[in-house]
Amino acid sequence: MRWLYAGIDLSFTTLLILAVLCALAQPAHAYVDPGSGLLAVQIIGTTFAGMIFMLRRRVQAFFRGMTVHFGSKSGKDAE
Amino acid sequence: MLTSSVLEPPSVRETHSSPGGGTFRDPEGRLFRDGNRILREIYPQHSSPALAWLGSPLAQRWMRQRRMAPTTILASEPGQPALLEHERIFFPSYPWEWSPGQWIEAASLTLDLCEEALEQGLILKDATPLNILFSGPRAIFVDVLSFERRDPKSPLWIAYAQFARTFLLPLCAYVYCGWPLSATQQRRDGYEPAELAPFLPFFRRWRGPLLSLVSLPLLLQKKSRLSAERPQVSEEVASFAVRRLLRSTRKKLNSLLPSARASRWSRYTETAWHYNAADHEAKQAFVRNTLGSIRPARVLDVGANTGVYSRIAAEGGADVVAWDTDVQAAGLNWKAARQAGLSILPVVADFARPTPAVGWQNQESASLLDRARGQFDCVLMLGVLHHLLVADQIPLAGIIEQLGEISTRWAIVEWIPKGDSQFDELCRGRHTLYSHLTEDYFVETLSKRFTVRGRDRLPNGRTLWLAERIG
Repeated sequence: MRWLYAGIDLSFTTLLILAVLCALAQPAHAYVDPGSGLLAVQIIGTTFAGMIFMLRRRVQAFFRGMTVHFGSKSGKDAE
Repeated sequence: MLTSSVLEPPSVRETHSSPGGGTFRDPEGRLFRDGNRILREIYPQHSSPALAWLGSPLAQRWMRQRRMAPTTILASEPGQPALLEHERIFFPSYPWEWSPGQWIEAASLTLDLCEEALEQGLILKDATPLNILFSGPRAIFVDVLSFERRDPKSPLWIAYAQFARTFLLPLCAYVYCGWPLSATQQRRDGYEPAELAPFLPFFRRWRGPLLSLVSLPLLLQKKSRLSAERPQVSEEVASFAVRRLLRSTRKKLNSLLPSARASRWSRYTETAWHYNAADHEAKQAFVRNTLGSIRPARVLDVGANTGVYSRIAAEGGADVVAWDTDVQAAGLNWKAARQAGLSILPVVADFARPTPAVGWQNQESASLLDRARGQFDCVLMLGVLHHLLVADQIPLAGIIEQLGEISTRWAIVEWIPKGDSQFDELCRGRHTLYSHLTEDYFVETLSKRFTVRGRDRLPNGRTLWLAERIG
């Protein structure tokens, strides 16, 4: 029976090593489109920039609204 | 969600075979030499936007500022190829011969021009160090047709990937892995993130510039399935995104500024114990007085180190090219020349192993000697001859022959006699091999190509010679 356990243990170890090797396998870069990763990073950055732009716009609009609201109110008070 | 195709700048696509000779990668035209003139032909279908760009106030301003190569339009008939002439830059140098500071300078100029072009609705379509030359210590943009009208709704700078591969990743390789920048001689398209990744420290890869230049592109490269459409957004968002990208790219570039490292030669002048103050003074006085009397216009300083004698020559009004094998010493020379505004171009180059010609048919980038031959009216070889003779084991006759090929007239040479501490150190006990290297032998060999016009003996026993080429 011992040899059977040893065999199972060895197979399990082999499978484990194979699984780890598969997980760590490096992609073949020979046919990867050059610069595609750098372009993808640029697109993510651009999306982020777009979000900042929209957020900044809304914040500016909010404060502009506040200024107009309170500005006109204080104007009325002055009358 | 933004999508885009993987687009390469046009100049890297090989679409023309250029039957008339000259460059062949640009689909819009070709650059070629006609004797000493640098000419550019623009193919008929591309000539009118190119001519309009060259006539624009922005292009004219850059040419006046000498940030872009001054260019004259020689012919511009409608329907015919246009012909341009570029001002010739004295002694073209290549990125693989630059010190790290020069790389940063060239990259900064590229970003500066791209940023300024945005104001006029233009953008840089090529961003490689091969579009830059150095005129003295200053970078100058030479590929004058690299600007195109920007799609106002595109939030991308298509040449960014090329800028990252050809400027930023070689600098990353130099700063983090110690790979020499001279290795880019064989890497026209720079490095891919995947090529660098295995050599970078693991934790370092997830911080600073390496995260966005190596680790993230590597992860996304595996998964990117990008469609052929260019992303389109509102003009305001597009302009904001491109400007933000240029700012962040500049930040990455500045973070790659290498810290000054000490090298074997970078503190040589201060620490040379075989020279005392009197020797230094006498040597500098001889060189200054000699240059003052012969007044050369173009000087080559071989083994220039940090540029003490290059500066003496440049202060006398000469355009100086300074060769040294030591990157740090050449970098210090460049920095000093840049700060003082002196016309010195330091180049990392070796007289004993000159930079070879590279590229298609060995004709895209000329060899060091092809660029130097007959270009200088005076060559300085100070404190370098014994290295060539003993360390590099080049025969004296060969060195003098080479000197005569490069100089059109003058040579100022320092002879280091046997018994000199530095000579003995280089000999490492093999004195019998060099027993023939006497001063008489030097004079005899020198006299085959040059006539001796002046001589001075320094207090430390070394001698300085002014020689004039025969014929």
